[in-house]
Amino acid sequence: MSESFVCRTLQEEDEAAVKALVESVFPRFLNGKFWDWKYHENPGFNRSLVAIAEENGKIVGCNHWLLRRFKLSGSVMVDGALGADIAVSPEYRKHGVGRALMHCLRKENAERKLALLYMFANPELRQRFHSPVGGYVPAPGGTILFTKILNWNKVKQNVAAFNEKLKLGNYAERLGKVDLTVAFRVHGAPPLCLHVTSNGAEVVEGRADVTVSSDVSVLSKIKGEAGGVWGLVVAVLAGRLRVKGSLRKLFALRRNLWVFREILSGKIT
Amino acid sequence: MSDYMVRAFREGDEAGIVGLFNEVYGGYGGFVPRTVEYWRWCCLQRPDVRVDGVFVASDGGRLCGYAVVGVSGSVWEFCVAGGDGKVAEVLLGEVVRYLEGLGASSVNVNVPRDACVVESLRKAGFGEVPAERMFVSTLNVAGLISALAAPQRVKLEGGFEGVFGFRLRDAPFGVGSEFSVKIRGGDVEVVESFSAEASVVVELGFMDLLSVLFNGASAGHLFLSGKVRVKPFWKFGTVLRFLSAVRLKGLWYFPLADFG
Repeated sequence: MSESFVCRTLQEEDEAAVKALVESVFPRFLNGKFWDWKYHENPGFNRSLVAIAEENGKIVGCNHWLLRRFKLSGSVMVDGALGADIAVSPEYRKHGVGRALMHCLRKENAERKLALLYMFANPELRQRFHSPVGGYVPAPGGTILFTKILNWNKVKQNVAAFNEKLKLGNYAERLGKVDLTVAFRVHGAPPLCLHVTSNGAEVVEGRADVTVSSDVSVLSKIKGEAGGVWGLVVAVLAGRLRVKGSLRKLFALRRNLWVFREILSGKIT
Repeated sequence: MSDYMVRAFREGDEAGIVGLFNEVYGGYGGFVPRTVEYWRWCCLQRPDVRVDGVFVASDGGRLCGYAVVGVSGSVWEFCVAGGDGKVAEVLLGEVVRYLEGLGASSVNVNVPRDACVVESLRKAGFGEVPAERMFVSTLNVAGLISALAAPQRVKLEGGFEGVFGFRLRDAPFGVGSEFSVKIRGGDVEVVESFSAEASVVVELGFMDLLSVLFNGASAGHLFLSGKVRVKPFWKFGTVLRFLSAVRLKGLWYFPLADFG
């Protein structure tokens, strides 16, 4: 691959290729209507708000802006743009395509004199890309996200994925002799009971060896933590997590905690 | 006692919905005002939303709340007049029943931290989870400072007379690295160049300036750590008070619908 890509704004004939690229990079666009709705049908849509990177006629990257009037505080309104959906073909990543796309949009829209650019990203991506390239800093806080779990269908999918990996030998050395059933009682959610043996995991009903009771925010923190049991200990001490079971089974849970983390670390809501 | 009724969305509800959204959330930073055209695109035409997933709560014919629910489980907009907990509970009940019927795994809704409906959400079995964060930057520092300074005229009347010249380090591509702030009798003029009349020169990093304006980062700490330089240095107090006057202080709220 050469690095002779060029960046320019979107033309009508590029739209199908841009849609295909975005759909291949972001699973949420897969229903095919999403790009059309988000950009083409947007009341403020303008092709100068979409930049594409092209090499030898092939579109290898794109970046989008959505123009918005935006309130900074009770009485301060400015013109702004929401940056969204930077997509780069996997083989063109780490070659400066994202940076070039961001620069292209800034150059093409310089006359708009936008007082605010904003975007949503995970903090790691922001630190690695958006801050050094675009000078982004965290916006003021104030918004909180609440979740209520209605069923554990996604956990069942995670269990199936775990068992598949086990069959392929991914966990052969880690998962020793075990026979443990853990019930998760999450406030506001139906009960979840996971049975783990050396043959794999399954969602079951019935009596559990260990019962873990918490609310969804504690569960979310636990599943998000990469290592150690300190998150659990702190939550227990704070009274937000209760773990009940015989000492032998609690030790078994400690030994096999990684299995539950593995299953719960995927999407559960 | 009020008798709330929740019904499905009907054509013609848009104006009431848009009015309610703008009234309830208009005071927050991060607010993107709704028009009927924008709301129809943002909510009603969203591929994740079916018309039967838009619920409207009314009290004797008066629209007092609504929820726009996607089949994915995301509540794209949730709005209740006056933060009425009873309306919130009734609406949340409908939302949960709707999504249970569709077999969704979860319900996700975001609200302002200080909203009365937070209590209703907790009561209904919702728990707080980490959310995607918003990040901000600018292409037009002078325009941003000008907008922030405009409502602060009264605060800027005393002790600020003069011209401040700002030089920004590490300004990203497309952003001017110099601007000047002229304050006379409370009038603030911000220009996109370094004024030869500047009696105070301020040098700081682009992201340090944004952190002060948006995140409450302490300009005093930045000065002490050498990240902000003021010439003459004894004018630092004035610069600090200026930055303090124009920085943002309120909460920011953005419904899931505004993620894009």
